[in-house]
Amino acid sequence: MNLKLLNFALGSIRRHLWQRLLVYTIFTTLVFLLISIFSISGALQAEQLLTLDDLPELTVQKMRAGRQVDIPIDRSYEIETIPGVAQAYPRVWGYYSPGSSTANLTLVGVDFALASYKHSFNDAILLIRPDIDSLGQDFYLAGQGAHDLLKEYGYGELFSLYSADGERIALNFAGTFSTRSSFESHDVILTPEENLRKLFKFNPYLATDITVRVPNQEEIETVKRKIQYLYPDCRIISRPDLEAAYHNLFDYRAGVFLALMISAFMSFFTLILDKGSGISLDEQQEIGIMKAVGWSIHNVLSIKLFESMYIALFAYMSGLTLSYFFVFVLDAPVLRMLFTGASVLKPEFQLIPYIDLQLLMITFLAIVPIYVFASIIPAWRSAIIDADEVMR
Amino acid sequence: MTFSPEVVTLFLLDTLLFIFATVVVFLAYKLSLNFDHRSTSSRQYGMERTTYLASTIIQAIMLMKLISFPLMIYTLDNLSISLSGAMCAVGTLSGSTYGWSSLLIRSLSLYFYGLWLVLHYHDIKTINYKYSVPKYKLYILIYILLTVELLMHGLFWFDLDLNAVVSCCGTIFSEASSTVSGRLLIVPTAYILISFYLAYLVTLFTAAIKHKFLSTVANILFVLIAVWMIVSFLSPYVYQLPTHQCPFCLFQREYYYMGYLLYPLLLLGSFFGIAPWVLLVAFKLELDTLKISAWFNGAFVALSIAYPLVYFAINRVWL
Amino acid sequence: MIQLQKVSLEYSSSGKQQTKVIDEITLHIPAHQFVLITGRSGSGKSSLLSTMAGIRRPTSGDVIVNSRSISKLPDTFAAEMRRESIGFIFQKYHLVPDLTVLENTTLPLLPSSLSQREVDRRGTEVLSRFEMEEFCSRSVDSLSGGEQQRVAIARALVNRPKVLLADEPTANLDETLFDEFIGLLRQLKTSGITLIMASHDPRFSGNTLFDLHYKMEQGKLIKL
Repeated sequence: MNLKLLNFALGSIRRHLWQRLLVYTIFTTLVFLLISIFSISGALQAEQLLTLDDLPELTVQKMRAGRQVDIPIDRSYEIETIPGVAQAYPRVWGYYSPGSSTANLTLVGVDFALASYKHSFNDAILLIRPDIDSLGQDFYLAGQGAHDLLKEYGYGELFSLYSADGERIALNFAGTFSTRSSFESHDVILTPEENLRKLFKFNPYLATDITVRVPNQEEIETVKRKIQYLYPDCRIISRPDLEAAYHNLFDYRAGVFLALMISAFMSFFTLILDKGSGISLDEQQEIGIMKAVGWSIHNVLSIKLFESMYIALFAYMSGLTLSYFFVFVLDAPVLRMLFTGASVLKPEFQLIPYIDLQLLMITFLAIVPIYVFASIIPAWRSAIIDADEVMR
Repeated sequence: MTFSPEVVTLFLLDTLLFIFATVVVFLAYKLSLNFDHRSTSSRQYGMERTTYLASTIIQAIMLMKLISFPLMIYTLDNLSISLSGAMCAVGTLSGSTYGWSSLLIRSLSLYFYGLWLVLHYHDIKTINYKYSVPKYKLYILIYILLTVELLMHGLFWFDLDLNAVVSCCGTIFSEASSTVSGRLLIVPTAYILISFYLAYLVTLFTAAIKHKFLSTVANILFVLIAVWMIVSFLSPYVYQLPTHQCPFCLFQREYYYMGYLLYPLLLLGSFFGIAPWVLLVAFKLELDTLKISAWFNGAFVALSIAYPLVYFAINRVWL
Repeated sequence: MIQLQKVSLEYSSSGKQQTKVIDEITLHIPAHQFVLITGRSGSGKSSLLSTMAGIRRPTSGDVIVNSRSISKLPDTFAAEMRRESIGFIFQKYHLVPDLTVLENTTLPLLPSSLSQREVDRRGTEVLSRFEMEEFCSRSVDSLSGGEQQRVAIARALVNRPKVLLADEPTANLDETLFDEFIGLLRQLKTSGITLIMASHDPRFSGNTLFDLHYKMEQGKLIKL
């Protein structure tokens, strides 16, 4: 590695700055877009995975004809006898649309005296209403999005819910809560379980599903199999399954996007090839002179390739820095809509700063090789310039 | 089939490399037929210039392949999260019929890249273009490998079923398993260890007496025995678990990414031991890298001894 | 030192005719000689010089410098030979406009294995021989014709060549500069360099500096 040539290549970029600028700008933009998209996706994924942490290891749902139906509560007692199970907790929850709106609220029935199946709920609740025990039965806590929506419908302090047969249940607003991840709590309403039983007309011996806590990760699969054996009519969802599903979902979205971006890269590629085919007269002269004073094809080729290397490096670093700033400081305006879509309840979330080696690796491999190959041919064309032809 | 961005990127990269490889193979073919360094015709002049293009592209392809190999391992490892039952790259590889063969061919290709690069390095330093035509003929052979590689890669990807339940390395690499790997592990560890050190000593000996052919044979044996040794003997010490005998979990973070150091050492050591004879016989090129080979192999052996020794020092017992 | 063996240079112009610029010239120039090649402009002197320097490839024949055939060498070796043994002064100087004086002067040394420091040192050393040292970091665009010529000469000499080829070096020089140039040539003669100069400048006729005198006519060299 001839250091002098490396130096010279750097100087060469400076001398022909304007021509290199176009390539550099496009390159930087592509890197910026790519890394931003992946960063947003990654940050979102990290958030989603956060919610997973708190979920119970297993969720047992009773099925009939492929649909979920209510599950008998005493199954949870039997489940608790399985070695490895710390607790089996039947839950009552469901969806509810206030008024005629299309928005869905998730109503979760909680036994406020007991520890909730979700640690995050516990902590959040205690934070806002340490006096929770004195509130009686007719109250509810709302996530921020739910609260805003209810306000829109005029349900400020009092939320009136109507069961299927018209029975009215009135709940008093006790406060909003938020958890570590805004996805969890956003459109959720917590209220004592009794209220939901009344609302959804739940049979006292049934629940929506049963969550199972298995403290030892290694035993999850075994316990799952045992429960399945006990209750063949049930569907059991394990947390690792959910993790895998989340991964797949995000991967899928990101991957498809990537495949689409490749077409952008290809255009970039053709541009380089195209542009590179025309070497400015100045440059041709320069190379001719170099050849005439004793530079070999190899030397000139090295210089040109070093130049490309520098540009690739600068552009990648620039794209990376800009992207980081855009996503985590500016919170990725506009671009984030690609992911959150136009859902009625949009969580206003802050993207968690997220640097992933894998992300850097992918973006690097997606763009840089294309550029390297695209620049070889123009570099070679420069290198084989005949000194004599240029200087006549 | 998965659209995981890592997989998409790696496959598209492979495709890009293949496209360029194809462009070059046409050039290489023409060059290997018509190149005559004694001629002063303008056609010959043109070909001499073309060799610069061809070699540069080939070197770029090989560089990318070398870089993407560890990244591919990393990806395989990460993908295992999406597969139930899989805990490391072994699971991902087993999730497709073409997983293992794909990996095998990529590993084999590395040796050929090395051969070509050494040949090229000597070619540009020789005044009479002695190695140019053989170099391009070798490339045509490499191109065939690249084609198969890409095919395998594509097949692996398309065939990969993320919903399949795969066996974890614990089952595949256990003595109870009826797979080839399982049967290999039935051999008592002591025998495997002895074969390993013996093989290493033989490579040292062949390097000392500078016998190229024996060195090639010895190193090939050494590589095979070394992998065997990693699975049966070394892994348990790295994972500190007697039943965990997987050659891939070594690449994971919990084990300090040791695999990324261990395997390259073995690769380099065996390559420099195998290459001299091959280059001499096929290309009449004298290469003296037996000593380098001994060093790399030695480093590998040292590492493989270190783990058990450290374990013993801490726990006062062998696995 | 330099030999031409049946060297021919042809090229096809925009018509279909092959013009023979150099017609089977065989020539032997021993070391330490000063050679002058005259002839009308367009007679092929420049082409001859370029071919001797290895800048142009002859259509047929062999160019041998220092007992090594440079026309048959692979590009890397030929370039290295040129760098080490040959210096060339172009008619139009051909300095790189965006580079400084020092950078232009040291251009032939960059591909070598010398360190940057050594390269710069040699550059300043040769520039000081022509009293151009203060101009080191100036851009060549700001120099006068005479100054540019000195840089061109410095560049040709920076690699301590054994052979110096000069193509019409005095075309743009007035009397004063011309005399300076002759003085320079005298200096070079004592250093033992081999010089081959192509020029149709009448001021050279009868000059005692030159040991051999040829005339280029219709692609052939005639000894005078």
